[in-house]
Amino acid sequence: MTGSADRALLVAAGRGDESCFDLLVRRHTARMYRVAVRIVADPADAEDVVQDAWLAAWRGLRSYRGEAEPSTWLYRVVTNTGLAHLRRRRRTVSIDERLQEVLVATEEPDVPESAAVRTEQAALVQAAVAELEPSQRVPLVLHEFEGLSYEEVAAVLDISVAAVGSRLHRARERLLGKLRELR
Amino acid sequence: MNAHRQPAPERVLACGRPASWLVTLATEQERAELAGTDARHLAACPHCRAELDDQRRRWSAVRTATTVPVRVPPELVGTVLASVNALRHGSAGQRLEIPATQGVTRVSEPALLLLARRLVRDAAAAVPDCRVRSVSGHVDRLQVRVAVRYGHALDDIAAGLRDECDRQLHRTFGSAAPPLDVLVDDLLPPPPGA
Repeated sequence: MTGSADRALLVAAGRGDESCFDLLVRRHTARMYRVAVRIVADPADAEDVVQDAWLAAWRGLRSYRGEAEPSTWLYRVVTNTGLAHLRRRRRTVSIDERLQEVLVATEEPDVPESAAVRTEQAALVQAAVAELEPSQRVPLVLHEFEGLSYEEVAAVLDISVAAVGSRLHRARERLLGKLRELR
Repeated sequence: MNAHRQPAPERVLACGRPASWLVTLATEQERAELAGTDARHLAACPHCRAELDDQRRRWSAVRTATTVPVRVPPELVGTVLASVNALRHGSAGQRLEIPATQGVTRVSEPALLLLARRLVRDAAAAVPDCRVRSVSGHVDRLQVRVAVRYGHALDDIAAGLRDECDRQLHRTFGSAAPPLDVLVDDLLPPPPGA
């Protein structure tokens, strides 16, 4: 989700070029969904989050001044939308089965576990991630699952790099504890 | 969201060190470097070495999870574009007028669509086997596109949704609430375990 092409698209979209915005939607919706589903831990809710995030992005186009990387800006939009969704939601049901709908491992010759086992294991891990406090969950998703650096996570969340390190440490510690409970 | 429990008390290893001191080493090898006392302790302490191995085993499940792809709903891009288009082409000049005892409250069409979208989605949460895809329309009539689960009576689902939406829209817009058409244009996958 990087590059001057995205910046040019965002700027053009901000000037009213609808096709540029549509192209951004086509390019980045999959990534937005991946982040959303890992934050809200529900495939259907994640669809709503992605829709809301794009509507928010469309409405906020004119405020995009080009100072942030387009990827940072879009991650910020979907992350904030996901967090707002979590604040509104009242869900207490088990989520690992729902996640198995969208986590789809494929058979790989060099991997001893079957695709089904890895899918199930991934859903359990994702369910454990979903039990983390949002302030820990979001940096973990962005760093571990999206591969963002500490600096990039800090830019998305508008916090210091030290704060990212601290939140990630707590997130990993809690996650390891939860994975022990699952065994 | 799951209820967040109080953090468990810190686990202390038989050597007296907290288990958490190994977390960075177990989960982020490229950033973790041990030196001096810590390195010597780890080399000599069987409890810490066993704990580190255990944490690394558990973390390998996370690493595996990061490699499992997420399947993106194929219709999602189209749904997003439909929602953006509904808002984009809503006429800012058109307004819903809500009569009041003193004056009139006016709601612009884009604002109406954003509000209706939220209200309809909240309403749909009470209707099983139905998911809202998008809300479009104008101040005089709204349309909601939904996906439903196979095997259910469409009339019942649409009627249930329309009743819930009607209630929500009237609560917000009063007698000015626009009528709502329901368009079923997709099927939901079977529920997990079905």
